[in-house]
Amino acid sequence: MNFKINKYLILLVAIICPFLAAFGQNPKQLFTQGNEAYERENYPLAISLYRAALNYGHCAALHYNLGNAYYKNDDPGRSILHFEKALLLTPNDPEIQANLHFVRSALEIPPTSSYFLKSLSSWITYNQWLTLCIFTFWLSICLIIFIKWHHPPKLFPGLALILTASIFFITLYPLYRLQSSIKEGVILDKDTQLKVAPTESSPNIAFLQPGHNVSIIKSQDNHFFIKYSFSNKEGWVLNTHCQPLWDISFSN
Amino acid sequence: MKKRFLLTFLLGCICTHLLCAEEISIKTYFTPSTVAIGERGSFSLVVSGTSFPKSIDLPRIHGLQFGYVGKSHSIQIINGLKRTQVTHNYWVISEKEGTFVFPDTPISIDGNEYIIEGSLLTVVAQKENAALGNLSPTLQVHIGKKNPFAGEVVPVSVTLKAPDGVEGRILPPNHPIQKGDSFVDHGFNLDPQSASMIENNVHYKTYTWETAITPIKIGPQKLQYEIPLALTLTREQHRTINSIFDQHLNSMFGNFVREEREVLIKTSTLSIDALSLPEEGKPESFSGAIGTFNLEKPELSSSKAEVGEPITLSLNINGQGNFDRIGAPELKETRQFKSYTPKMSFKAKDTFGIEGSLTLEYIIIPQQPGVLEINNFKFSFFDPEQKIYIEKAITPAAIEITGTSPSTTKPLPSFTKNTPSGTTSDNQLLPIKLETKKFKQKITPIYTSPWFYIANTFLALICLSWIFFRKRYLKRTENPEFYIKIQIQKNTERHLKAAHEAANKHEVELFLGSAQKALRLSIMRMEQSINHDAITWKEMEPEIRKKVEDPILMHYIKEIFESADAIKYGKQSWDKKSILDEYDKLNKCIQLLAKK
Repeated sequence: MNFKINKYLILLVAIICPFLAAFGQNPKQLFTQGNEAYERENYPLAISLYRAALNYGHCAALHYNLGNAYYKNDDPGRSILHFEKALLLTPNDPEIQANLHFVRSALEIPPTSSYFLKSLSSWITYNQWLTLCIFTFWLSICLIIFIKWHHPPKLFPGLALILTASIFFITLYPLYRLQSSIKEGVILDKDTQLKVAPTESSPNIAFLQPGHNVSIIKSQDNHFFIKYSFSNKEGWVLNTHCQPLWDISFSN
Repeated sequence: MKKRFLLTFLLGCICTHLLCAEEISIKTYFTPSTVAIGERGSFSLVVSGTSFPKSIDLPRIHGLQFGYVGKSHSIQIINGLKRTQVTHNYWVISEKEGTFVFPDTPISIDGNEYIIEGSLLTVVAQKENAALGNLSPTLQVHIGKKNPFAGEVVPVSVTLKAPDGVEGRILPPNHPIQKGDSFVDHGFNLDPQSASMIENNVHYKTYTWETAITPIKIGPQKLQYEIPLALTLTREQHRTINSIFDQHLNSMFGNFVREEREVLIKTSTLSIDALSLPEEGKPESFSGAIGTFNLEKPELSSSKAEVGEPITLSLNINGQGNFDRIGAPELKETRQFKSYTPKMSFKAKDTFGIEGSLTLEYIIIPQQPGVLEINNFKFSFFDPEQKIYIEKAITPAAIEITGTSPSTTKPLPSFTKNTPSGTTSDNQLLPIKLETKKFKQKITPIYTSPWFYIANTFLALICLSWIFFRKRYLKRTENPEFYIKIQIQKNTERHLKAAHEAANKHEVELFLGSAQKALRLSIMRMEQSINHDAITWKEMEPEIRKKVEDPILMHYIKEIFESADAIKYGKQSWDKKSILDEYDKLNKCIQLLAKK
């Protein structure tokens, strides 16, 4: 009986606290309160507080902690989603990489290949790579204009042009690799149905397991049309069972 | 004395006549006098006389229902005597067979007592319906099996037999309707099979509907069908008050009317004893299938699969029986695989779904690597002809499963506290972070922001401007004549503009001065070393002669120069009336010189 009361109390607190906490509080306070709940092993409350903080914006530490809380709450799909989101914000954070690798290993999801050029893309964020790419592009253009029409002594500007152009071309590779991740999503729930059509009564093609990354191609009627590269299958999943990594909209 | 007697006699006759005129008669009659049970007839109450009751309460007759329709009036004047007749019309319907009497009923009108004359109504069963005649339509039912099993599908046919000459139509739902709830109908087709037949020298038309029924109750049950018809009947018209005109009309057109009457034709009640399925020998896998079925070899979507990869197992059951009541054979899950409720699809070969093919699609998800063999998968049915249960084993081919067991079956690794931050481990989750950095509003690629495009457009414009101005600069430095040409052109345009403004303001001196400068620049444009303002007409004349062949234009240029000098140095006046016209001439002149 006591156990039941405690259970209901926790549930009540878990429901009410985020609203109370969100009222008149800043995200850092919510983050701290979430950490406290996490330390008390009250993971549902920690998740609610972290999610309330997410309403104010995104932060790598917040997504990382949310990933931890979801994992402890026996929800590995959402855990992987938030670790991935944290990595988008700080791709070279070893703790995030370690926990993501850990949860993936626990779910026996095979790791993606990690050779030099792959790890290169995780040095900085996608936006930083794109900024670098654009900057080096225009710098190269300026150097070309300078060399062609100002006739400077050719050694220094020539070397600078080679350097900036090289950086520009190098940035293209991580951008190419990361571009595919822009439309990536994560399967959240166990035995997620991959359907033939975006309807409830549609027959299933396969059942997907949580934590697996999929490419989201388009959306329609609360469904995402996804490509599951692991078994090279395509189909529709309910958008409650799959969430994109980036905050972008998908065309119909 | 005689006179007094005659007078009294005459007065008595008159009074008697008047008293006769006040006489009221009330009659009733049923139309028709014989009706079938449930058939609607009419009842008329005719009041003749000079005064009428305000209302008439009909006596209650057990077994008959009356409903008031309305009243009609008629007036007759015979030998100056007016007689009025009011007819009150009612509908009447009976629920049971028999002869019903509308009794003689006393009624009080204006304080006088009168009697409503009674009438008779005969109600007969439908077959003896006199109104329809002896040759009325009949409905018959034929069942394929008198003692079916509960749940078994039994074919049934219902035939409507109508004698030739009977006109009518079948009313919606346009097919027989089963009475009772002991059997489930499998539907009727709306187009019955029609045929002709002769029975006892009477020609009939028959309409037969085929269907099937399934007994759902065990024990003796009654089966009966009925069908609503609208029959067109010809009957003799009943009239109680026959006027002279009515008699003439009847003799001319006959005393018959045609009317459509709705009737419900029923079959006789069939007694059917629905049997229960025997418990003896009932297999565990029996799920309600009764009939004769064949099982095709099950098909697999793939003979090889990975752990977690769904495989479809298709099972085809064909034959005759109660396909609508077949439950899917149970595929029991083992450690090796999981399965889901199968998708069932039925293709019927007949209208009522007795014969056809049922396809069941099971989805199997292998859970362990190895060879997956599905055993203990059976389908059983009850054969009503042999009265035995038949069980058939379903044995799909073995499936080769590769890969590892799915992760979801394994418990998640446990969390360990106080793990040092920044170190990665294979069996521990690193602790949470205690500090946050700056919050970002959204995780979006920068190319979705309009500032990305604004910044790039700005940079592109800078580069293009840079190229443009640099090229222009280089051209100026590398080709000075080009630069002088542009300068002269610009200065000429400037002087011409000043001349135009002066012309607008009617400032003659300023106009001529600006015109003189513009002409000098246009004529001597290539002479870089010459100070244009100091050139006189005489110095310019040879150059002008080279460029200008037209003497009028030559004269005009000379006039401008001389007039300008005369006004500027001699303070003379200029006799031209419109300076704006002069400006137009100047403009054309400079354009001509620019082309040279």
